[in-house]
Amino acid sequence: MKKQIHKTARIRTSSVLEAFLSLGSPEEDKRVENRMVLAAKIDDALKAQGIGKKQFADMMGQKPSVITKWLSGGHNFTVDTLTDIQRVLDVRLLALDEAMPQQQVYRYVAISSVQIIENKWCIDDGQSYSLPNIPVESAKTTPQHFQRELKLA
Amino acid sequence: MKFELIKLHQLCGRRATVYSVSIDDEEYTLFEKFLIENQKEYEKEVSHIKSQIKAMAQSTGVRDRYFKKPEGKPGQDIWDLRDQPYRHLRMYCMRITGAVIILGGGGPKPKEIRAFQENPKLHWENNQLRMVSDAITQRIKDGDIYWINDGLELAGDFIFDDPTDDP
Repeated sequence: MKKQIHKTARIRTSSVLEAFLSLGSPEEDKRVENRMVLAAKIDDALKAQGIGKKQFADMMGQKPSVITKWLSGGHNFTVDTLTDIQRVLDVRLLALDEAMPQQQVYRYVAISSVQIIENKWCIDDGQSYSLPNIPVESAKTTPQHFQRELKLA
Repeated sequence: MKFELIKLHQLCGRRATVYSVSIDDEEYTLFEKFLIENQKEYEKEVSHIKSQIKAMAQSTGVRDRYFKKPEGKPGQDIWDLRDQPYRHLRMYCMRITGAVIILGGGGPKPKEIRAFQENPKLHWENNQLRMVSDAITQRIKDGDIYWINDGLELAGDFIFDDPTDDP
């Protein structure tokens, strides 16, 4: 069977369009995109649940004109508003339930209690710490109770 | 008036195809003329429009909520894309589907006017796109313009010798 050939529109590229695309910044593009994506997600959730704009306004305790603004793609939502919309529509807008990164452990110790073993700083708690960019010998000559922040190696 | 639908390749993306219109074999499309007329004086407003078109083409599709209510008779899909939050400019578009948009012209809207009809430039730009809209809608109804690539693009006869020739 012969493949059907479709006649598509003439393609245009121009320096005017090139200059247009170079306006602004990628950061601003991303901000605008994120606002529009949020508006789209909310709109999709409303349509999926058959909720109209007036009904949603009542559910959120807002005027319909505010909902129009929210859905226009230009609104800069607060975290609180997104949290409330998530709850009311049962839609995921904030990705805050993802696993938190492991916390760094810091300890303040007296420099006088530090020993250098195998190029690592050690204190008498048995743990070893690394502290790059700080010369050990110069730290040891500082006053006895000089304290440094050590990161767990 | 002769016109042709032109694909603006640099603005297209995986979620939408972007077109404009060339009138009477002029060098620039309606949208390019809008840029030439407004980009210098309203740079941040035009930049915002750029961000919106980019987001629609690459991410969200052409959703009706992003536009101001249709301007024109019922059946004429002439929408108004505004430079939020400034709202100094009006740019008229034809939203064919959630994946196809035709960018027209527009201009600054003086604060003292309430409707585009009160401003000759905006009125003219809006009228241009309405004529285009009528002609394209008729070709779609007749099957002479149709969708391909899962509705992402148009194919068919894009040259209109005189919109009034179409029945």
